[in-house]
Order: sequence, then structure tokens, then C-alpha cells
Amino acid sequence: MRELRRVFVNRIWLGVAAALLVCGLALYVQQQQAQLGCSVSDYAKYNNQWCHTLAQQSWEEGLEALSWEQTAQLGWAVARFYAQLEESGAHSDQEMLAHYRETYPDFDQQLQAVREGTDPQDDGAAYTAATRWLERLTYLSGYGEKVEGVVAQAQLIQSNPFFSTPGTFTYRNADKTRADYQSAAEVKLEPTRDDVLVSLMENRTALVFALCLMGVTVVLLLEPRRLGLEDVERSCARGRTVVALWRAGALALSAVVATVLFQGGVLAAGVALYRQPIALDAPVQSISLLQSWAAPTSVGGFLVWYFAMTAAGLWAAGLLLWLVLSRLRSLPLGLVLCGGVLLVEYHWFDSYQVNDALYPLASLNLFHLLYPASTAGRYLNYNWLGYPVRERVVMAAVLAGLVAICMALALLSAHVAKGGARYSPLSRVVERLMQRLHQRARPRLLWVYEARKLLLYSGGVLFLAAAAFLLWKLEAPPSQQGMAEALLTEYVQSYQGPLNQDTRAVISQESERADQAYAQALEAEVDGMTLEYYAARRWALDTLEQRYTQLLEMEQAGAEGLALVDEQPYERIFGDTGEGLRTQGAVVVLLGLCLLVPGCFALESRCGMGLSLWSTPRGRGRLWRSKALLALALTVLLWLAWTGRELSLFAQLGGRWEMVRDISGQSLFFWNEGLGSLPLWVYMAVFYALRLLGLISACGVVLAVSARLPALLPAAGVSSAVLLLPALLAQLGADLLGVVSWVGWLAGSGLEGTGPKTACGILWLVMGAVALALSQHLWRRYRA
Amino acid sequence: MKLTIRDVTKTYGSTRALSQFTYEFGPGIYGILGANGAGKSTLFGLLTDTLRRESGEILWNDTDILRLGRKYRAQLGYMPQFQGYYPQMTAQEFLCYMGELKGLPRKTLRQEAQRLLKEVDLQDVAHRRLGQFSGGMRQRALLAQAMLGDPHLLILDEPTAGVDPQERIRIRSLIAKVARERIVLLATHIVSDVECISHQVLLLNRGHLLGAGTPEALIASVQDKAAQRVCSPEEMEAYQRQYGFGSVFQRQEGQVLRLVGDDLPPEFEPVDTGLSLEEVYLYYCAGGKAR
Repeated sequence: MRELRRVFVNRIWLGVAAALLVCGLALYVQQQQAQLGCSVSDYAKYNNQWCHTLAQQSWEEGLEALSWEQTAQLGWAVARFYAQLEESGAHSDQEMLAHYRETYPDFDQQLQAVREGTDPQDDGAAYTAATRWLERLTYLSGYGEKVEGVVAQAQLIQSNPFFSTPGTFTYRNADKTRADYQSAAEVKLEPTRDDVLVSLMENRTALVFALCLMGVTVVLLLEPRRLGLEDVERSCARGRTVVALWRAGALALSAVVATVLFQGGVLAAGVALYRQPIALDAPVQSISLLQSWAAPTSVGGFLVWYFAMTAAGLWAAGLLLWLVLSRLRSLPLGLVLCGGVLLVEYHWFDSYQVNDALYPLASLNLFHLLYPASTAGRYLNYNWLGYPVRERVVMAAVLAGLVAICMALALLSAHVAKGGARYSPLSRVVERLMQRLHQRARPRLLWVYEARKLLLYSGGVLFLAAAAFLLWKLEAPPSQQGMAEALLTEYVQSYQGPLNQDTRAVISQESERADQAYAQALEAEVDGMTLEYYAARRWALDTLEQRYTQLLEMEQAGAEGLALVDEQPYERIFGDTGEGLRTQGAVVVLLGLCLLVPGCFALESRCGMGLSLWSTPRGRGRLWRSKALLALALTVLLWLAWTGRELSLFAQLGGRWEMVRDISGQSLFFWNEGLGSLPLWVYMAVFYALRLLGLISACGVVLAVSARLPALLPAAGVSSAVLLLPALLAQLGADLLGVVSWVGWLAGSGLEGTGPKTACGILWLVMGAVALALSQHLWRRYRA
Repeated sequence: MKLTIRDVTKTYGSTRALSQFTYEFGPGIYGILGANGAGKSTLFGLLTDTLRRESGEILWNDTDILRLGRKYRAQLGYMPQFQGYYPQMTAQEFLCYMGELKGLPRKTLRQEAQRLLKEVDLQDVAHRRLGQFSGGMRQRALLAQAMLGDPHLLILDEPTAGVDPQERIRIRSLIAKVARERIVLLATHIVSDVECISHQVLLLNRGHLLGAGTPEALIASVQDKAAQRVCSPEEMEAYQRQYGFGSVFQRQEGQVLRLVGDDLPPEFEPVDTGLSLEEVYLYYCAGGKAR
């Protein structure tokens, strides 16, 4: 019992659990917002309204009402688009207007309302709600057919001469598939709000955070070894088997608590966010994500299975981690190795799909066991000695087996005498190797020793690798363009480059041809989609021609360095569209600093080296300078990784370096009210230089905090609170500390250099200098 | 060379850890004896300038150590009480690292480290990590780092704590060997260490310097302050309750209780020979003098 108290009433465990829970919920809220593309609250309102409406209608009536609503919402969008065209001076296109009137019955009223400004203010929530319900009802209507299709397919397979031999796996598999689907064919499906459940199953952050908490539990279980109490424990009557059983129990409890906290937390947050209860009695097939469940199960039953599998997976992972780390002599090295392996496994799990050649790397993977959603979402039978066995049964058996094996090994390990490893053949080889290396070893510079201490002894290389991995995983935000804007971008990409009259003439000709094509399409009465395309093409070329003309006029008026530039890469990396990308990068880098830099001082405290170091001539000034320079160098490394990733994404999106070098900022005049006449590379250089200044300032703050709090976790916690809490609050909707948000300022707001940004840069410079001076003072100060 | 401490005081809150400490050290080994909380580590913290001095002076060759700063610390070798080391570093690496911090030239640092490792008999395990060393080996490695740079002032706080008798003797012999033309301050609870090698012994109790002198002089000062008797366990308990803590010896005739103090039971026989610094310690530091 005391073992449980030692772990769960430990402030480190409690602090980490609380911090991860808050971060997890904040990320969940942000993810829901990003996925919906509109306000979650508005979406929930429309979603719930539809739920009540559809409950009183048949499915056919519901489908019709939803289609009508979707059309009406599209009508609003088109009306707004048309009104924008009118405002921008485009000529009134009667043919297009007639087409819209035909497609959207209330188009005239909608257009009038938009012109008068009385149209409903909606960011797409109503459309999204209608579309999702339409998808749900379409799925529900077609479920019966799907089941019939599966049954027919099974019969077809069995009738094939190659597979018609009873007793073979294929024959049995067809039988089982048919039986399974038929068992669920009689369930009465209901239109169900599935947003909460789907968001739970798609949420991988909760899984990662739960695994982190298990890691903390394992480290606390190994605390007696770190304190030198292991031998005392093992010499006691109950210090082996009983203690091992209690520790295994602590891991089980931790797995359950982590599941309840993170998965349950997401579930509760989802219910609150979407304002919808979970229909526990509804059959699980009511949710399209679970259409392949193929068993008569309720949603409540499914949730029990889901939570139980997650907890079992976490328990197995915890036991495995405990076993591995308890056998390795060095805990920091063990954590680095295990962390590296888990990172690689997660990458494989995330990257390889069923159709990939390297899919076995994703399926024979710890995360496959930890993430039951992938199993729940598909129907798959494994061949076990010629008999088909459901994948989820196999997963459960594998988990049970893994837990049993790990428990047995843990109990066995508790009785195995230590110390033999030193005399094993491997250790003798290592000994000889060490002797050889030692003979070549030379004294190093101070900063080299400091780098080894920080990166190897304190595990800093793991944090660097994790940060690099997360930065590498950053993806540019998707393009938010409609068809017309996408065509415009395509044409800009074709014609981008220095300005000349010949190109303008070509564009004019192309525009005229587009006009003619549109007129011909109207006469030929082609279908709506094709007509939309021709209209969009015409609009795009018209807009391009206007833009090109404007640029030429500016050039003739004396502006230099102008060109037609594809602005999409700039917008998606440096503009408003790219704000999410930059924010994620800022969070990753700042978190990396908060975990990496405190190691500079934490190791001295942990190893009790403080007094020895301060009594030496260089142990105050020069040693601090080595640590500070190392921290700053690593900050620059993180900045390079972040910048490199953004610039690589910029290049992937079509950004051209010769244009960045030669073209002036005024060429981006359609984006963010334009820049000045300096070359684009100057604005980018200033943007990144300011960011580097901010990171250096942040590094100074972390150095100051960790000089004051020499233990790693408190220093990392306080640093994270200072640097990341304002952004976290903003994500949760309470933007109280936005003005002091490092994340906000690092993410920046475009390439233009404005007063606030300059002031911010100066402030960072001053803060960084003050923080570094404070750090030096705290390191050199008297201890009493 | 000399180290002068004049009226140095250090207080932690309401506790006076060191009170008006005054002494002058010349070349030689000085054993500093005292109970836990006597002020030994505080004294060393002030000498290494890791604790803030409240009042008084600490002079190295007549110059305040605060003025000398790094120049003073360059002549200092310090082995703290708490075994501070990096378990992942080999012994050689650790010495090279500390040598770098002490400002030793890199060209000669490797040879210097090897020489010292040979001096402390660790040359065969120089390639092994400190985490793999036994307690005694670690103490020797830490002693070697304190001796890096041939410091004129060597401060050793409990250098033989937690090591077996053979290791203790080895470390003691090493200290005696390197103490020529050097000031060595040795704080310890182990009286026999001090008795064997110290030129002078300082007795500290609750921040006060109670006495100082050669081991022989100090032993002579308690010549008529010790008495002993064969006692039963009950008698032993009763005598110690009344007269204070004493030492117990196992002899053929039974268990002998030896008491040290100004006030002794009349039935006890005075002890003239075979006294050691242990009796001195009991008399000065364990309250014997107060009685």
C-alpha cells in the first residue's frame, strides 16, 4: 500500500498528471476547432437542432431536408462570392446570375440580403452541420445494402472453385464474415450524434500523454535504486516478490488512472464542447466509423471495451518499460534509449498505412496495441492454424500474453542476483574497448565536457531528437481556396516572373479565350459544374490580367524589383493561414528549450558537484559562460531546425528562391496590405532574425529559472509556465496573458516590420540580457 | 605561506554556526575534531568562499581571500564532505575536467592526472566510470582531484568517511605524504586519523574553538580527567546517566566503563596511561568539560 502512496501521492506524479491533462484538453479543443473549420459552439447549436428535427422525421424526409439546407447554405456562400465580385468592380454577368438562380432557389433574396448586410453571420457552421448529418443519414440508409453486399461477397467466394473446399482458412473466413455481419444486420440503427465518440477515437494526443504519465510512474518505481536503497529492499523478507507485485499493481492502477484521466477527460470535454450526451444504448453501427464492428454491441459496451483495451495496453507498455529500465544500469541512458525507440515506433505507426509495403512496421508495433481505434474501425480476421480469429480478439490475447510474460519476468528478475553482468563476456569486451578508448582520450575544452554532460548525461539528446522529430512532422496548412482562387493560383504560377508587355498580351489573349469558352458553354447549356468551371476560369484570368496591369503601372511609375509572384507559399507559411503552423513550431521549440536547458544546472545539483565546482578558479565565471554559450548554441540549433523546416515547406509549396532574392516586397501587394520596396529576402531575414532574438531571450529566461531551481522537473515546469502558459490559456479561450505570450510573438504576424514588432525585439533583447545576468548572479551567489 | 582566520562568525537564522573563530595556520596537517553541527563544514565553506562571511577576516598571506578571488582558489584544493562526482565519467576524465576548471595547462593535464591516479593507486582503473567504483576508490579519486594543481592549501572534509580500515590507512598515508610544505585542514569524526598524522588538533563545539594543540599536549591536558571501572550493564547505565557518556571496553574481567570529565565517581580508578584523543574529544566536545 505504501508503494502506491509513494507513487500516487508524489507531487511530481500529481504535477505531471495535472499539466498533461490541461495540455491535452487544450490541444483537444484546438483540434476540434481546426477540424471543423468553424466555431464549435455554433456547430453544436446547429448539430443539436438537426438531431431534434430528424428524430421526428423519416430518413427520406430527413435526407431531403438536409439536402435543401445544404443547397441553401451553398447559396449564401455563392451570394457572398458574387457580391464580392460586384464590389471589386467586375461586370455583372447575367448568364451566371441566371444559372445561380436556377441552382439556388432563394438566390435573389440571399444576394439582396448580402448587399444590405442583413445576411446571417455564419462561419460555415450551419453548412458543416448539415453536411455531416447528410453523410450520417446517407450511411445509415445504405448500411443494410452494405451488409447484404458483404454476405453476397462471402457466398461468391465460397462458390469459387479455388476457395470452395471446406476446412480451408478462406472458406472458414467467408463463413465467419457472413455470420458476423448477419449477427449485426438486425440491429435498429438510429441517427446518432457521433462527434464526441469520433473525436475520442481520432485523438492520439491523449494516448501519447497517457504513455508519458506511465513513464513518470516507472521512473518513480525505480527511485529506490537511484537512492541506493535497492540492496536494503532486497535483503528484507518482503522486499522481492511482494514489492514486485505491488509495483506491478501500481503500474496497473496508473494505467487505469491515465485512461480515465486522458481518455475520459477527452470524452467529458467533448460532451461539454459539443453539448451532446453520448447515446450509450444506441447500436455501435449507428456510427459510420464503426460500421465494420460486425457484432451486436451498444455504444456503452463499445466504450467499456475501448477503455479496457487502452488501459491494458498502457499496463503492458508500463511493464515493458519497467522491465527494460530496471535491468539497465544507467537510468538516464535507459530513458534516452526507450524514448528513441518509442519515437521511431510512433513515426512508423503514424506513417504507414495498410497498403504500404512497410505496414508490418506499423502493425507489429507497441502503439498498435495502445490504440484500439484502428482495430475497432476495420474488420480483419487473422489465420490461426487455419481458423479465422477476429483482430480484436488477437489484440486482447496478445495484450494478455504480454502482461503475463512481463509480470513473470518482473517476478523472476526480483530474485536474480545483481552484479553478474560485470563478469559476463560482453562486459569483458566492453572493458577492453574502454581501455583502448581511454588510451587515446585527451583532455577536452570545457564546453566539450559541458556538452557531454548536457546532451548525454542529462539526456538532452533525447529532447533535441524529439523536438527535431516534431518539427519535421509539421505540415503546411491546407489551402483554403475555392475553385476560382485555385485556378488563379495556377495561372499565376504559370506566368510568374519579371514583368513584360509580352506576358501581359498572352494573359489578355488567354482571358479572351476564357470569355469565349464561357459564352459557348452557356449556349451549349452544359451542366452546372462545367459551367462553374468556365466561370471560375474566366474570373481567374480576368483577375490575373488586372493584377498584371496594376503591377506594370507601378513599374512605370518608378517602382523597382516588381514581378508576378505566386503568393500562396508566402500566405501559407508567413501569413494568416500559416499562423497555426508557426504556433505549433513555437510551442515545440519553446518546450524543447524548457526541457533541455535546465539540464545545465540540474546535473550539478543531482551529482552534488556544486561545492567542488565553486571552489575552483574557473568554476564560477568561465563555467557559467560555457554553460550559457552551450545553451545558446543549442537554441540556435533549434532555431535552424525550425527555420529549415518552414523554408523547406515554403519550397515544397512552390516558393522560388531566385524570386525571394530578387523581387521586392511590393510584388505581394494583394497579401496583407503589401510590403515595402526592399527585396523579399530582407523581410524574411528580419522575420527570422527577430524570431532568433526571441528564442535567445527565452533561453535566457530558462537559464535564470534553472539557476534558481536546480532540480530538472521544477525548473522545466516553471519555465514552461512562463513561456507557454499564456498560449495555453489562449487556446482554452482565456486570452488574459496574450500580451506576454512568447508563443504569440514568436509565431509572428506576417513579414511586415511594424512598430509593435520592433518594440518586441528591443524588449526581448533587454529581457534576454537581464535574464542572462540574473542567471550568472544566481550561479555565483553564496549558498548561505 | 599562512592562512589567518580572525574573529570569523557565521549565523544561520538564530543558530550561530561559528562564533569568533580565530586561528593562524602554517604548513602542516591540522585535524579539526568536532561533533555534528560543530561548525566544521561551515568553516570550510567560509574558507572556500562558498558561504557568505558575516564578520571577521580570512587572510591568505596577509591578503583577504575575497580580494584575491580566483588567485586564492587557484591555490586551493577542496574535497567536500558529500561525495560529489559524475558517475558517467571515467576517473581520468573526471580529473581532466576538474583540471580544466582549475586552469591547468591542457598539454600537461593528462600527465598530471595520470600521476595523481598513480599516487592514489587508481592507475589500473582510470578507464572505468566513477559509478563503478567502490566507496573507497571514489574517495581516493576525489582526493586526487583535490590535489590537482599542487595546491598550497588542501581542505579535506571527512576524507575517510565510509571506507574500510585498509582504505583509511591508505588515504591517511597519502595525506601525510603530500602534506609537506602545504597547509592541510582535515575535518573528521575519526579520532585515530587525526591522532596519527596531525601536527595540530583543533577542537570545535557548537561553533566555538575549545582548544588547540598537538595531540600529545591535548592528551596531557586530560591526564587526570579520566577514570574507569568494571561495571555491570545496569551500573553502566546508571553511571552514564549521572556522569555523562563514556566509552566501554571489553576486557577479560568484564566490561569496563571509562568516564571522562571534571567530576568523576570516587569509586572509579584514575587512568594515567593509554589515553587517546578519544578521551580528549569526550572531555572537550561531548560535554565532559562542562561537568
